[in-house]
Amino acid sequence: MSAIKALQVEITGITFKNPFFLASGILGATLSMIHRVIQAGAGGIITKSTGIKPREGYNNPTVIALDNYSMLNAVGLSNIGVSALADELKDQQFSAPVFASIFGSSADEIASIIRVLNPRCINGFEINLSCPHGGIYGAALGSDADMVHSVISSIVDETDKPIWVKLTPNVTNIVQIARAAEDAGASALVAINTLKAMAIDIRTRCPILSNKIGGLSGAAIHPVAVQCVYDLYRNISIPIIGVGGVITWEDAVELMLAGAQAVQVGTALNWKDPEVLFPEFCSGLQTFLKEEGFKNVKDLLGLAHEEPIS
Amino acid sequence: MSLTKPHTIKITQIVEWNEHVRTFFIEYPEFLSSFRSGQFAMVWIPGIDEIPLGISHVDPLGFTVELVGSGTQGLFNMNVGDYLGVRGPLGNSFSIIPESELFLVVAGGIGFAPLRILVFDLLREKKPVLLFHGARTESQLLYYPEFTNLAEENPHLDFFVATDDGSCGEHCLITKSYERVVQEMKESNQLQADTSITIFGVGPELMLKSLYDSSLTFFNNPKLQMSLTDRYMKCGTGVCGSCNVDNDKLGIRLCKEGPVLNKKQLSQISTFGKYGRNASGQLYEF
Repeated sequence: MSAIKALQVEITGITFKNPFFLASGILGATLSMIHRVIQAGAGGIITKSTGIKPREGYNNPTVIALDNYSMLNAVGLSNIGVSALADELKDQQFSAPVFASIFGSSADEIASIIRVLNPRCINGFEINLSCPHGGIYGAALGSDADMVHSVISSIVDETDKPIWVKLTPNVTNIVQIARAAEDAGASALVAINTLKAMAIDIRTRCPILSNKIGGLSGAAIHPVAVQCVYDLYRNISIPIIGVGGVITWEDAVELMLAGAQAVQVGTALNWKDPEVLFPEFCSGLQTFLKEEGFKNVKDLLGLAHEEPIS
Repeated sequence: MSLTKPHTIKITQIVEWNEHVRTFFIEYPEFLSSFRSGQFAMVWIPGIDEIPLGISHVDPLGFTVELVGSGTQGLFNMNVGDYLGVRGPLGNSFSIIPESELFLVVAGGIGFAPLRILVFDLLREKKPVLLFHGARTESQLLYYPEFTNLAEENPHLDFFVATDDGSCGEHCLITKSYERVVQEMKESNQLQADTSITIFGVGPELMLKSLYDSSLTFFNNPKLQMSLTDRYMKCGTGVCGSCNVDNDKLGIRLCKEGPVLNKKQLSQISTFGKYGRNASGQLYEF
């Protein structure tokens, strides 16, 4: 098997040239940026989440960097609205798979967004049921297993394209939520979204984010993501895409060993441009596979669940 | 050190230039010592907003700000001794191209703020500078006495002023003043089409587009550096995508690859001088 094919993965019927995708909400969804990140070498793209209507999001500060490759954000689901996005996507062709991340306050809203975007050149949908600071539009839906089941089961027939469900870690039992999504017909799970968090400036005694509460991402949450993916893999049959603090290719391998078929990268791009990060990840993983005697990246899947190598 | 939380720093002095424009000085934080002209900082007005501001003064460090909305109103309500949160320096900077024989600096309104230090940088290197500054009316001209005096003392600097109402300098847009001066210099053979020249511009995007167009007519290969400060910017760290400009497949973020763009980049922006994007990403006409 050629070195290039060694990184290729097929998830929910879509072939990706490598298992490193751009996570939703990072770098924006403008067409020119999607093309840039694909050209930089990303295996796939998840767009910034789109809602039914345009939203400005919250006031600044919306994103603050923390030490050690972590980040706190409450952007507030700013987006141009599904009709403007559908217009911009008209006649577009992308050279890597693009998934549209969408959010809504109800199953009906999400269904109508899918209907508008379905004819466009996107390969699937990622349902954002997990934004920790989006009020009724995010984790409020994704924290209740019955609600997740009802939303997903009423949208799966809207499209033949795969529907991935992005999960929040801010729940008592992520497996329960994941099972509800799986039972309802989700094609894959994406774990995890950001952890609820906040930061306070000690001089002004003021929460820094304008929304006060935001989502923590980056290195700080990586072990949480690994644990969630590990747990999901033991209990769920549909594919898992790992996300959370993937700063190096080693972090990605860790998620794959826990049970992720591919990973999404977000916060790391705050420190490294896509042109550097994606090639670095691909060559790092390729070398690792060779060194460890694996033919394909999928051979790493869930290996942490087997007996350790003595 | 640009990727951090906002550092809270006290305001040390506030200079009021007119009803709408003030300079806020702060203690110079160590992390801004690598600052180069053209870069900006994100300035947090605690509990209200965080806005991108060009650095107009060094030692002490100052931001010259025009009152335009709720964020700047929050800043204008602050007093000496109050805390601002600052992170930076962010974005790219102007560069002084060594082979250029003449430097034209065109500042529209508050656009003078990030260019002020550049002019001093150029003069320190003894580069010949033609500085153009335009405003709606005399009271809105920035740093007028400072640069009028400097132009009298410094043989390398010529200072041209225009106002929309004719209350000071030429009665026209600053781009017209620029075109007149360049035209006259070409007619008197002080300038040729192939003179090696750098043009810096900051101001309303329509002004920049006009400057871009006329410069390409006047000169064969002008070096252009324009800061697109009219456009909406949110997170300032390159993550949110709000300041992405529509340019083919290059995916330029003004807060990271910008805010200073060169001629080639400007030529690739399909919306240059036409449309910006608002907070939700929708297009609006300039």
